[in-house]
Amino acid sequence: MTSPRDERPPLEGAEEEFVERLAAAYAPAPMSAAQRAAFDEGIRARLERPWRRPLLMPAIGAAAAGALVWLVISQTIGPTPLPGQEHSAAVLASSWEDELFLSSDLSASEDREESETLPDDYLAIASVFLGG
Amino acid sequence: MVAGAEAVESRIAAADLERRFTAFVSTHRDRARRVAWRLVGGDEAAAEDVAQEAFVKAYRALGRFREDSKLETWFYRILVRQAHNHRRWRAVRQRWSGGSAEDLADPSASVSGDPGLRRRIAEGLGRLTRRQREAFILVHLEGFTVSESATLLGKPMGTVKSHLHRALRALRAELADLQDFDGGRRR
Repeated sequence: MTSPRDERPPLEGAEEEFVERLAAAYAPAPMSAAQRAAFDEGIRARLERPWRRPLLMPAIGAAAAGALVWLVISQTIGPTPLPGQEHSAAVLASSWEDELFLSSDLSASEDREESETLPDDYLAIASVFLGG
Repeated sequence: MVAGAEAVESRIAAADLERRFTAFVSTHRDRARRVAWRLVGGDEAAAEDVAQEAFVKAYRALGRFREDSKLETWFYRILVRQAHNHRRWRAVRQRWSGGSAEDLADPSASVSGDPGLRRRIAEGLGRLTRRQREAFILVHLEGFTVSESATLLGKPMGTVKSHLHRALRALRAELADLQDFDGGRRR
């Protein structure tokens, strides 16, 4: 992977200067020989630790199974709709499905996905792992 | 006799893997740390953590890649992902402890230059969306090409160009005074 700068979008003079200034100002100090040695030592130390497969996949599997069970139970013994409300669940489902699958504003949904403020379910998981 | 030959072959293969990994670390160490430093918002300890973890993953995947160029692409993809995960967890920790998202990052730690300016740049980058920030850092600050960055980010080139355009516009607005600045003296 080479890094020629010629395959970038063309920048005007002022933009080019601005970007160069940012690149110069926003960089860590170069590593000394001692820091490089310590860095390599850090990698070696990590490699010597016993490698455990991440527990994420089993956790996701368990969560998915739980969600499926909950879905089945809620479908089976859910509350009986009142007269005139029979279609409300279907309407609700179709509206979020519409939003999820038919939305034309893909960039907006991407921005939501990219938000660093995590949704509450992430935070709940985090509280378990971080003991918060 | 066959078992002995296999053991010798296995030792040669392991030695070859070691040699390749050492060369790979030596080639990419500085850049990987710098990319990570920029992606995590100037936090030196976090950058080392992210970069070292990416190298460990590269070591474990080394046998799957015969060509170092493919390993390199894969490695920087992992590095970008690791840095993103770090930012997410930092945001969670910060939210839990009640601080602001940038409190944990310390762009001024053991770096020469203007710490105030670095902090402002880190904050400006922090206000971009994830993809805008990653595209800007990879292309404009690190010199990856648009097509390389598109591969690293798993996005089409057109999307990366769009992110670059928006990121540059946002940063120029955010750091407008920087454009009239030269070496700490206003022109």
